[in-house]
Amino acid sequence: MNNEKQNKLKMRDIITLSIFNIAIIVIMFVTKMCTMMLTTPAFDYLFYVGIMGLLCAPVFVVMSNKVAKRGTYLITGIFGGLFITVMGSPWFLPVMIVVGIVCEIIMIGQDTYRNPKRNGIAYSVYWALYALGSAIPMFFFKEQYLNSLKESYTEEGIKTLVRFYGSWDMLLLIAVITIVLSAIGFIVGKKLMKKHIEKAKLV
Amino acid sequence: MIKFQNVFFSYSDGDSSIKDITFSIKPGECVVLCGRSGSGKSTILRTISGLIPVFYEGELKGKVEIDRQIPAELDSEERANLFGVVFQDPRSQFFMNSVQDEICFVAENIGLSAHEIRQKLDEIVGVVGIEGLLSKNIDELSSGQKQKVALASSLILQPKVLILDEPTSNLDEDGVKVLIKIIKKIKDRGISIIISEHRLEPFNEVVNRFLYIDRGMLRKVWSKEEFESLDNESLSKLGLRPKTINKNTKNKKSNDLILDIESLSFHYKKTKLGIDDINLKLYKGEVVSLLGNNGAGKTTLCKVISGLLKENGGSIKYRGKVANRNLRNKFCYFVMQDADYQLYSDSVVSEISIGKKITEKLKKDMVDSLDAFSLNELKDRHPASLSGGEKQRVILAAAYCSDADVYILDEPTSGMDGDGLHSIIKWVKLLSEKGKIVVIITHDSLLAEATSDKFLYLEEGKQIKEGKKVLYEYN
Amino acid sequence: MRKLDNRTYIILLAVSTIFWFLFNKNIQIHLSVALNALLLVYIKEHNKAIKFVITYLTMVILAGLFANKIALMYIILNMLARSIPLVMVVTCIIVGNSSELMLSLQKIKVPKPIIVMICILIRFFPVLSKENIAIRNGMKARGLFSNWKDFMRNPFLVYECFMVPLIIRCIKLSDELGATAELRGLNADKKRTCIYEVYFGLKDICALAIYGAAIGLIYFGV
Repeated sequence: MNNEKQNKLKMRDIITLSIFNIAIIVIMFVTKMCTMMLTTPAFDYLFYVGIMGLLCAPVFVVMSNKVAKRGTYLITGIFGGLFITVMGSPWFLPVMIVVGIVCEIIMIGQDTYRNPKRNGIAYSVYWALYALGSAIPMFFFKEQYLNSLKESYTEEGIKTLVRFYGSWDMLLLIAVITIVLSAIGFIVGKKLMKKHIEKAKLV
Repeated sequence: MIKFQNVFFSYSDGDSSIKDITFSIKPGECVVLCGRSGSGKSTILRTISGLIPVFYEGELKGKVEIDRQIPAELDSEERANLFGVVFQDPRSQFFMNSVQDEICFVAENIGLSAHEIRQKLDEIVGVVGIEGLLSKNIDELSSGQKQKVALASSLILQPKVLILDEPTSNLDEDGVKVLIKIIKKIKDRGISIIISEHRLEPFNEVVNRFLYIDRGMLRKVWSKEEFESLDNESLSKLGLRPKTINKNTKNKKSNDLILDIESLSFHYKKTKLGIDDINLKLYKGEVVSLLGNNGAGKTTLCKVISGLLKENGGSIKYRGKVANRNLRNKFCYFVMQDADYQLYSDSVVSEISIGKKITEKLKKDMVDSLDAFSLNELKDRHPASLSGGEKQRVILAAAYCSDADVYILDEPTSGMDGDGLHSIIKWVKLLSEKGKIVVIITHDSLLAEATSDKFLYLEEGKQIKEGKKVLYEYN
Repeated sequence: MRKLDNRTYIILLAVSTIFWFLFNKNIQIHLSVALNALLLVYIKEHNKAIKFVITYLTMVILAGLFANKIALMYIILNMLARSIPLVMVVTCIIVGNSSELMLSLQKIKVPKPIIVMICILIRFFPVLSKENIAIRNGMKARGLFSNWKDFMRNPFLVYECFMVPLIIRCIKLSDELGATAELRGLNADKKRTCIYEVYFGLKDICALAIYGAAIGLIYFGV
C-alpha cells in the first residue's frame, strides 16, 4: 500500500516532467528543422527520429531518474503528441498516448526507472514506435493519404515516401536505426548524468 | 503569530541545516533575516511555510506554530490561505501568461467564485499599484513590475504571513523604494512579514527586528536602533554589507587607450528600444561602472561591446583599429548575472581550461588563476554544486586565464552578502592591476564606489552623465 | 464580447484534421487557410491571421518557383504549407487565455495533471526557448565556440556544453516551480473556478455549424 502511494505521481513530479519535456520538445523541434532543411528526404525518413532519440537522451535520463515513478513515459508520450499537434498533425496525439502506454507496460515492476537496462530498452522502444507511428496513415489510409499528397508532392517525393513508409523492410530498417541511435544516446546520457548531475548531487 | 521553539532541521542530503532556533513574530510585525549566504535563512523561510518537511525532505525537530497551526500538517488550500510567498527568481514563479490571470491563479485554484475573486483582485491591485498592468503579458514586464505582480498574486487571498526571499536582488533604487512603500501598507493591515535579505538599510523604515543567522544558529537580535548604531567594521566582521565603503583611491592613470567607443547605437527590432549615441574612452587598467535604472540599456550596451549584438551605428575601436563583432567577441569576456548559463564542465579545473589547448603556458596560467582567486580548495568540485559567489569566481578565474582585455560583469553583487561584496571588490582590483579593463553593470552603489574610476549613467538608452564619483540623485 | 469556447476549437481541430486527410487538391488547402484566417479575424487575432496568410502565400509561391528545379525544396515547402491550416486552429487555443482553457478542459473531464501540463507547456515553451538562447550567448560571452569552425571541430564538447546548463536549469526551474505550486494551491482538492465566464453557448453552436458547412463545401464543392 505504502509502495503504491509512493509510486503515484505527485504535483511536483508532474511539474518536473512538464519542464523537462518542454526541453525535450525544444530539442525535437530544432532537430526536425535541421534534418528537414539540411538533408535529403531519404536521410530524413531514415534518421530523424533516431537523431531525436540520440539528442534528447541526456534530458530524459535525468528526468526519469529524478522522478522515477510510473507514468513518466505516458506523460512524455502525451507531451510528444501535443507538440506534434501544435506542429500541425493532431492525429499523432492518440498514437503517442498508445506509445506511452506500451512503454509503461515495459516498465512494470519495482524501481525499474533506476535500472538502466530496463529504462534504456523502454527508451529505445519509445522512439522506435514514434518513428513507426509516422507511417500509420500510409498503412491504414494509404489511398486517401497519397491522394491528398498528390498535388503537393512531386512524383519522386511520393515514391520516396512509399519506399520508406510503405514497405515492411524499410520500416524495419527505420526501427533498427532508431533503436540503435537512441540506445547510444541513452548510454551517453547516462554517462553525462554520472559525470555532472550525480557529481553535483542534483538528483 | 509565528512561533519557533528550539527548531532543528537538517536536509536529508546533508546540506546546510538550522539548529536550535527560537523566536516569535506578532501580527503586523516585520522581521528581516540577515547573515552570510548559506547560513540557513532560506531554510527558516521554508520551515515557516511548511515546504519543509513537506516538499524538501529532511529531519525536523522542535515546535513550529503559525497562527496556532502546524504548517507541515496543512493541506495545499490552507497553506495558500495562510501564506503569501515571493521567491527570488521571477522566472520560475508564474504559471499564467497574463498579469490578471496570474494574480487570480491562486484564488481560482481554491475554487472561489468569480465574483469574490473580482472583489479581491480590485482591492489588491489598488494596494500594490499595478492598475495599468492587468492586461499585459508577463514577459513584457520589467523586473520591478514582475516583482509587484508576484507580490500581488501572493497577497490576493489576504494571507496572515508574507514571506519574501531576497526581494531586492533584481531591483534598482526606485524599485526598492516602491517595494518599501508597499511593505509599509501591508504591515498596517496586520500581516506579519518576514524577509530574508542582504541589502539591509532600505528596510530600516519598516523593520521591527533584525535576526542575525550564522551557520544555522540565531546569534543576534537587533532592534532598529541597535542596528543603526552598528559600525561598518562590526558589520563586515559578521559578513554583512557595510553601510558605507572606502572610495577607490588607486589611480596611477595610464595613457594607453584600449577601447574607443564613438556614437554607438543599437535598437532592438521588435521593441525599438536600445541605446543611442554612446561615447566612451577606456584606458588600460580602468574600471568603469554603468549605472541607471532597470531597462535603461546597460546590459544592451555591454552586449554590443562584447559582440553579442551587432551595432546599428557608430564604431568601437580596439587599440586604434575598428573592431567587428567577431573580434570583440575575442577580447571581451562577459560574466552574466546568472552564472548557470556559463558553466559547462565537471570540475573547477577543467572549467578554467575548457575549449583551450593545453600548453605549458596554460598550465602555468591555471595555477596562477587558481591561486589568485583562491580556488585551490574547490579545485575538484562540480561547478554546479558551488554557491552563487563561488560560481562567479570560477568564471572570473577562467577569464583571468584567457587573453581577453575587457571584462564585463553584469550585476556581480546581486544576492550576495558582505563577504561576497568584499571579494568582488578584491577581484576587480586584481584584474585592474593586471592592466585589464573592467566594466561593471550595477545598482549597487557600494560596489561602484569602491572599485570604479569612472561612472556612466544611462537613462532610456541615452548617456546622461559621465563622472568621477557616484551621484546618488542624478535627475 | 465573449470569444468562442475552447471546446469549440477542439471540435474544430478534430473536424479540420479529418478533412485535412481527405483534401486532395491544393486549392482546397488554399481555401481552408482562408477559412481559418476568417476564424482568427473573428476572434480578433488580426495580426496572427495576416501573418499566417503571408507565410502560407510565400511558401506556396516559393514552392511554385522551385517546382521543376529543386524537387527537395518543393516538397519541404509544400509539407510546411500543408500543415498551416491546422497550426492556425491550434493557434486559436494557444493565444487564448490559459485560465479559460483550464476550466474548459476541466469541464470535459480531462484529468488535472494533464490540464496542469498543458498550462505549463503554454507558459514555459517560450521560456525554455529563451534559456537556450541564453546558453548560446553564455558560451559566446566566454569566447567559447564563437564561430562555426570551432563548432564543427569538437561536436561532442559543444553538445555537452549545451546539455549541462540546460539540464541544470531544468532541475532548478522545476524545483522552484514545484514549491510555488504547493503555495499557490495547485494541489488543492477543489474544482477550479475562473473569473471569466466559460460556457458552451449558442454562438459556439453557430460557429461550429458555419465552419462545418464551409469546410464541407470546400471538400465536396471543389
